Amino acid sequence: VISACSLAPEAKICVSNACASSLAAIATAKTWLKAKRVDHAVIFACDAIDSFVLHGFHHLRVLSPDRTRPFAANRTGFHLGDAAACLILSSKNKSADGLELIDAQIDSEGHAATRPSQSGESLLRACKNLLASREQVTPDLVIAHGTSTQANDVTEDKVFKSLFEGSEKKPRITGTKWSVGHTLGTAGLLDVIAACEVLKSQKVFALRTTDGIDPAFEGSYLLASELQNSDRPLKSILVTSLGFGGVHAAALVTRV
Amino acid sequence: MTFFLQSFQSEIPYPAKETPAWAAKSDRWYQLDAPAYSLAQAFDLMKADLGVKPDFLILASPRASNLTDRDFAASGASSPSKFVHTLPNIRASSLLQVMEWAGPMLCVQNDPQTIVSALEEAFVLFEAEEALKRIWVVAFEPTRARCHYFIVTREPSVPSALTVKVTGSASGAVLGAASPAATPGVKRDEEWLDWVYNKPSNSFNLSRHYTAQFTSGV
Repeated sequence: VISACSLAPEAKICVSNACASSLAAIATAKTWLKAKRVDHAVIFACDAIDSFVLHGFHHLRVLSPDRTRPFAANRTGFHLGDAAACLILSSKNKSADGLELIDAQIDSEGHAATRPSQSGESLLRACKNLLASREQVTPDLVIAHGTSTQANDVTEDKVFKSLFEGSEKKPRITGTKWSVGHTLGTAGLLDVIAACEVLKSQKVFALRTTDGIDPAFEGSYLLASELQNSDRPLKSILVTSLGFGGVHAAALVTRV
Repeated sequence: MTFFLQSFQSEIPYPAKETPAWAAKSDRWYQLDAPAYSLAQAFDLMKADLGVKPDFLILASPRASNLTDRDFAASGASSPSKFVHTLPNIRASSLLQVMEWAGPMLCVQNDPQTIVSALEEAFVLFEAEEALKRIWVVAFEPTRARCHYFIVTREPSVPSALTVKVTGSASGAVLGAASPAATPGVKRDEEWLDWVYNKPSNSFNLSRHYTAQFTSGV
């Protein structure tokens, strides 16, 4: 698709930050817009399940034998999902729905090839940098990466605990992978699009396959049994992504 | 806007014949593929020259992880340690461990001008973010098993640094017809590396926005 577009070679680039690629691409687009190098940026993301990917994740032992249950006590990994997504960012044309991407931040840590550090230091740094410039530091909702693996969910819970410690009202936390599966590099873009839809509809979705949260976790997760109407007006949503190799990212979407 | 650029390169034999000096810092160094091992080894060999660590790191991956992908598939697609290296950014994980560094990192690919695009990304970052002072663009060149470290700064740090100047207008100018500096089929990365290390002419047109010129100190 991109090759078919009559863009100059320097006007397109492929970002490969593993499962944080989408949010890293958004951060890159924001940089180009901020530098006034472009007026509009189009971000494409696509991931398809093939035997290469399926075998790889199977041998890493992260695929669930049944369902993806993010942050659940009985979580067993994830199922893979196919997805293609597209997002247009513009510094000239305002969104008809009042949607605004405040920023996206990327960060990295050389902890290990496949596991994030337990403290999630680089995700925490990305989130803090993202929220630091905001008057209202706490977002109204978080759409977490939530892969339902042991390592990912532990790290994210610790990051959310550190991030929202002292907040008057901790944000509710949800995710999409229980429904669409883990779409790898596309996951962040799907979650940003989901955040836009939540902001437009003012209706949240729960972690529909998660019946009971891991007792060690402290985040305010939206369970399957909970209502889908938010207990507060939804003005801003934080989206997080974690990638192999310790590349993590976060984005903040608002509706003005 | 003017930026300054230093370049370093190192050819690294692979596989390693002995345990590297940085082995204790790395997560299973003996499982690293050629790009991951080479980038870490090159850093260790050149760290005194590379000096202060970066505010931002850009990893350029010409040909992405194609060789490792092929190796993984040919070996029956059953090795987890090979599979993780089929993501081009993984090669930076061991580098970060050896560097003992953490921070913002972007991994890019845009063949046949992946390294050139990564350098341009560094210049755009400088234009957008005043706080950034030092960006490293790091690349592994698979055809020659060479590692490249480019240090981009706002201020000159050594007399031999290249000078990179912005040319042309900024706003929206890159959209539209193909740039004359990047004709399809031309190996821009090879041209750039030839220019940097062999100096066939005084200036190099990186893109329609940036021209690199050797300073008089070279």
